[in-house]
Amino acid sequence: MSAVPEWFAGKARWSGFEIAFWCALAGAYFLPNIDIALLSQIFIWGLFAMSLDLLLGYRGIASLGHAAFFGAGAYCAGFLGKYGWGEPVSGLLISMLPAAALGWLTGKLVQRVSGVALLMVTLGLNLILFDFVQRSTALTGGDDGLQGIAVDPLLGLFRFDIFGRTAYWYSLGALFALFVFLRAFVHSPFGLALTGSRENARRMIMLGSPVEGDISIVFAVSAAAAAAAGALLTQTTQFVSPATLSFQRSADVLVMLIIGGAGRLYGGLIGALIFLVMKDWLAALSPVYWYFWIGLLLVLVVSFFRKGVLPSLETGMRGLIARLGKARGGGPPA
Amino acid sequence: MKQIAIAAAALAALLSASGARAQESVKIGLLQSFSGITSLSGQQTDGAVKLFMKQNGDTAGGKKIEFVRRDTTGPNPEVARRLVQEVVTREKVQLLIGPDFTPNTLAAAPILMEAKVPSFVNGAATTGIIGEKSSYSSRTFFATPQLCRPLAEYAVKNNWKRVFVAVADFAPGHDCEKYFVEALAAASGVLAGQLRVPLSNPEFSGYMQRIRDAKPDALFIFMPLGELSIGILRAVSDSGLKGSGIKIMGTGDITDETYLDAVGDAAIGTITSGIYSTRHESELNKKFVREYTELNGPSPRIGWTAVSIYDAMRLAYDGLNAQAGGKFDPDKFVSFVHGRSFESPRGPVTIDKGNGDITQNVYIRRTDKVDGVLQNVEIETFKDVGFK
Repeated sequence: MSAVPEWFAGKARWSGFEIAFWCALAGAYFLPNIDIALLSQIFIWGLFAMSLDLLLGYRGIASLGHAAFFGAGAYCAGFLGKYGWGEPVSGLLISMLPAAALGWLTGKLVQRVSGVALLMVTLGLNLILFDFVQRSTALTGGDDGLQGIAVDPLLGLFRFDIFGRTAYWYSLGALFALFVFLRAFVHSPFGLALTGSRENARRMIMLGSPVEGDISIVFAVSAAAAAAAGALLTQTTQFVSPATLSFQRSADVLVMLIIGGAGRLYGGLIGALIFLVMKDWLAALSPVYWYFWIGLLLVLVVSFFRKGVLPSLETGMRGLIARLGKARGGGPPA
Repeated sequence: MKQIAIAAAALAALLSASGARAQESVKIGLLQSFSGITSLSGQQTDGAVKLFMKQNGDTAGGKKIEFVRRDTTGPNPEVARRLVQEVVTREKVQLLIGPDFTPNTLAAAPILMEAKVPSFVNGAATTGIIGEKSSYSSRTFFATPQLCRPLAEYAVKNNWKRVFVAVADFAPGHDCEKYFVEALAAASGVLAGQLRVPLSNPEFSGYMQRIRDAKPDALFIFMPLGELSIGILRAVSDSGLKGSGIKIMGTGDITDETYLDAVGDAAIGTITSGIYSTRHESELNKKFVREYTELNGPSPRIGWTAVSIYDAMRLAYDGLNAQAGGKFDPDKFVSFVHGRSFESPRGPVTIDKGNGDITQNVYIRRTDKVDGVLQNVEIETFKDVGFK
């Protein structure tokens, strides 16, 4: 009987690759001439992609309107900052609540639909929110964005400076904290049940697993994480506009997740890193024609890394290790 | 260990040497839309900068001018803010031209204030975005009321008392509608009706019927640059609205030179208010148009962005020359630029001393065919129109 707890403990153990990965993110700050503003944005997008991974990778539900939750968090943090609640950490936590509720409701709404219908519902929700925010100019400032957001110094000590130093550590810290939580979440028995429902929902029902109810829970958790990403963006830039709710954002995050590889949490981070670094690099290189190269890159990634960059590398590495015949512990991040 | 220390010292010496050299140059950030549907403004930016450098050389105030170009990708405050942060903190630009669009300008302002980087606002026309919260910025473009108010006065003066107002349904459209309706009432004109057209895929024929039923003397249009402007002018012509004696008016966006040829003859007779026409009668403008066309070719035609960027370059050079020899001082630069009057290809321009916004002539123009080419011909001038 002790095999089951042991299996969970084995899953939850941190591998050398994971520790190295996080150390690298923290260490990147000290590299000379590194663009820390870009890295902060990558952390935020990475968290956003990770939240979508919970739905797409672990439960097998595609959402085409995930920006709705991102934007809900962003505007919530914006309103808090505007109307006097400038403390960033509590502001971040509070901003996750309305989105979690919205996610829970969405889960209730979509638990009986699947496939294309599901895409339509999530997309529709996103569009409704976008239009609402854009038209309520008195409340949200419409297209021009919400003005007058004030954010207090972090922990009362570090103000958000123009170099983006505080923003860097703040978003990295928040990303890591949420990652640790999500990692525990997907390795919990509940997370395992999610994966089971993804593979064979009917079988899970026969095992007595509440498949439909689980959908609203995972939607709520995913929405809360997406909202945290949105709130981070608002707090670190002190600005929020309807662009946080745009369909383009929903599409971009899906692209990032697919580039990186769904179903392993790190995929979203890697995808955000590749997508945004390439975009920034190409756009600076040739501000006029860079979209061409981005398009080409996407086509190449999808044709050579079918399942995404991370899973393909993982498979390649496994093959290499097996061939060398010295399969030791601590494989690539899983 | 010793070798590492020597290498480090050498590296430090190298870095400080390059730092010393950097002081003899001035970096200007160019943040415009170079890609996407608004990339025409990026092309004009490049054209205007190229022309100005050719005419005035690549040094000002004894410092070599270098550029850092970045693509804002359109109204995208998240990207624009990060790019401003990047060019200010890493590329260490001392001056900035852009970013374009109101939300981008608003998102960038706090950084520019804190870093004391003087900027020239271009491609953003909303009222009140220049001032206290961005005291290092100057606008070389225009402010929305500048275009909307004079046209209302002009209409009533010509006895087109009943005016129907049609605007695009987004923030600048609402802004323009407000100022036009206000000015119309002040000139004791009558609002015959109004409608807001959605930004994506509008079907114009239904709107044309509504306008016809309201029986106005004139129709006032505000549409963003591009497709919608072309679409509505064609619809007005095809539906027979234009032929029925209703005067067609609008802000100069609808007959912008960059796509006026695409509208075709449907545009003839349209009355617009604008800050610049390539047909503006002045020696400076003739020279500007001739040399711009020689350098950049006849297509795309010169629009407002080109002039606005050209003027920003003018101010940047004058400001740098005024403090030649010394280290660049942003406060001195701003106090030089604010309050400055100069002759632009568009006519006389003054940058407000108090807040850096722009005062300029606004021209009422009629679209006509001149030597076989559609042109906005200036027919009346409102002198020194303020930005409020």
